[in-house]
Amino acid sequence: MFKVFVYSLLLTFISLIVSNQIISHEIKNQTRKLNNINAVIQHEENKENLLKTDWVVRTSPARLKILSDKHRSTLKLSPAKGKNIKFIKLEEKR
Amino acid sequence: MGKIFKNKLKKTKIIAGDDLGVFFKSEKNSHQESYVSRNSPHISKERIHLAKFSFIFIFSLFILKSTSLALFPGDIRGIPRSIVSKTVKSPVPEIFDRNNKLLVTSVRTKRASIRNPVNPIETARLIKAVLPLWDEERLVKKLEKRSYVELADDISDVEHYDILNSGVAEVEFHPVWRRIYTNKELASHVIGYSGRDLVGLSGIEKTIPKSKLLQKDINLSIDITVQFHLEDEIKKGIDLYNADSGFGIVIDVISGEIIASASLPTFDPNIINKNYSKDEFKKATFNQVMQGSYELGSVMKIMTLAMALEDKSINLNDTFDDTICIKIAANRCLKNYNNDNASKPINPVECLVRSSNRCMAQIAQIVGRSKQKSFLQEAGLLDEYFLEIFETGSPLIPEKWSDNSMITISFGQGLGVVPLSFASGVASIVNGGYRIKPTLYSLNERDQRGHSIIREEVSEKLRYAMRQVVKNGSGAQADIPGYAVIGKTGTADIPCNGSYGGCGNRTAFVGAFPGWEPQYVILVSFERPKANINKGVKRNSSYWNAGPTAGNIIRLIAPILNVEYDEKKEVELSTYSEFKKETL
Repeated sequence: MFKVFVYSLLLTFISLIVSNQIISHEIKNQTRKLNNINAVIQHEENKENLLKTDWVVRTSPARLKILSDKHRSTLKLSPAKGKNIKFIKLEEKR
Repeated sequence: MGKIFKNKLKKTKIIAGDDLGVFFKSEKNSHQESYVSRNSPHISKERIHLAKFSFIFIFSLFILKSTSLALFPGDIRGIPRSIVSKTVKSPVPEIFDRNNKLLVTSVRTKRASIRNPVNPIETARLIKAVLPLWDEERLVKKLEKRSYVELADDISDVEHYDILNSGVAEVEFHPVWRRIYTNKELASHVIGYSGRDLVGLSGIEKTIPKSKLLQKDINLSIDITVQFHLEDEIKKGIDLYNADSGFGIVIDVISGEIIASASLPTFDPNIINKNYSKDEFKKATFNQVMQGSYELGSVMKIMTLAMALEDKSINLNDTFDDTICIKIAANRCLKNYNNDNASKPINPVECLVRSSNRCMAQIAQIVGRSKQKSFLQEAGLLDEYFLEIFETGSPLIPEKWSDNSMITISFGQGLGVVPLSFASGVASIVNGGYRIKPTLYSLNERDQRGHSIIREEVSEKLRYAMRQVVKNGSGAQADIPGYAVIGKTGTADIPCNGSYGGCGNRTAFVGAFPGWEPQYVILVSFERPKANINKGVKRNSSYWNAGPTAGNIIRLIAPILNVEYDEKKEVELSTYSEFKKETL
């Protein structure tokens, strides 16, 4: 009886340790994967931020003015004039 | 026999080492000893099994671990990370304009530094090859003196790669945040700039709370497109009129939001810490609109007229003699600009259109100096704290508000006002008479009008008078068809060596549009502008510089600000139709 008890105890211990090893390894693996994903997210966020900034710089009014002046002969762009904008009053529309 | 054995077995004390004794001790032991020895192999066997299993267990642990390491070598190569890393956000919020256009953001970059180099001379040589901005000798000196030297605060990926491949082993890289001002010079005085580690040093940047809990993205009241047109036109104006400097501001008259604020010369906050000399830095970072305090000249006459009409001391049918002598010194009479005196008595509207100093002095004398001071106080012109940022100026008030001060202040000399508070004072007059408080933050509710400083009918009279200035007077070059611009020009001598004259002048135009129901106030000013005959600028007065520049700005920004265009609408005085018949 004692023998059975000792063996079963040992078996339990061993199985526990094995499963513990497997789980801990799995956790480490998942953590590593998660960290990698987070690193990718961070990288993408940084990239997105840079692209966003780049877009704002590219579409800044000062730069657009320089470009529109440069290509004035072909694009024929000029600032909007007040008389070209029609204001519709909501009351009249109803 | 079996029973005896069991009883004896129960009484037996197993002593440590007994089982081993079995193998070494002779059979000539006592009865008890021989008995224990006879039965001990049975007990020892179990213990040996236990030990055996323990060894197997421990070895199996080793085997398992080594197998897992053999199969997944990542654990050896990388540092085992048990904590999940999180993505890092910028510690400082982003800044947007009123239309959610990004103005300031933070990006991740790297800081390169060297710690304890073995051979400073060789290290400096290698670093110089990669970072050519470094002076080799200076770097050697620094490396020899200090154990830690920062190489660059903001390195690109290419530089990072080059440094790694340069052969210098002692280089360290630290991730750092860097502020990017996407529109460079635009609105730089309002936005401000930040130094190392995102520490705000001026403008809105300086006001960002240190606590992360309070931090959220900031929406400024600035419209970056309007800001661009304002700065661009003032820059063109400075070049055309050969002026020393210039500034401009656009304010919403209902909410008090500052739509644009320009002070030139300006600076690029991205490179302020690197590319500016001390003098340039001081001049460029000075915000004339909010920190300056200037005598703006005849634009102040709006205040004098508003004060008198509100006080009911005068009405629009009163007339004033423009030829009489108003003494400002023992033997000196007050002069009109260019000695342009009206030959016959003129009414208050004509006083404003002709910009008569004598007329305004008479009006001020009727109202009195205490009322003048309290009115200017009420309009916010004498306020010292009026904005969210730290860089604000204060008005230059005469030590003694004497009768002479009263006279000079009535036409805009002798009192230095902060341009922003003057513009908001004018906004408070043209918006129906309600005090507004200027703000740099975008507001959810537009109507922020406070208590009344003048009656609505006085506001209407002022709008009418200001329209006449633009239509028939010195502000004619600011008249943009369809918006019935209202306004007033001003040309003031810049004081120097304790007197006026000979030191150039400051010109200004303050206006509002559309005239029939003003939405925005604009103030434009130039310091020491000159005539430019070749380009059609005949003189250096505000009619020739501040007026046309303001007109150009209104033409460009009114469609952007959705201001109604109507060529038929005019500023009318509905309640003073009789007066209109007489004068027009």
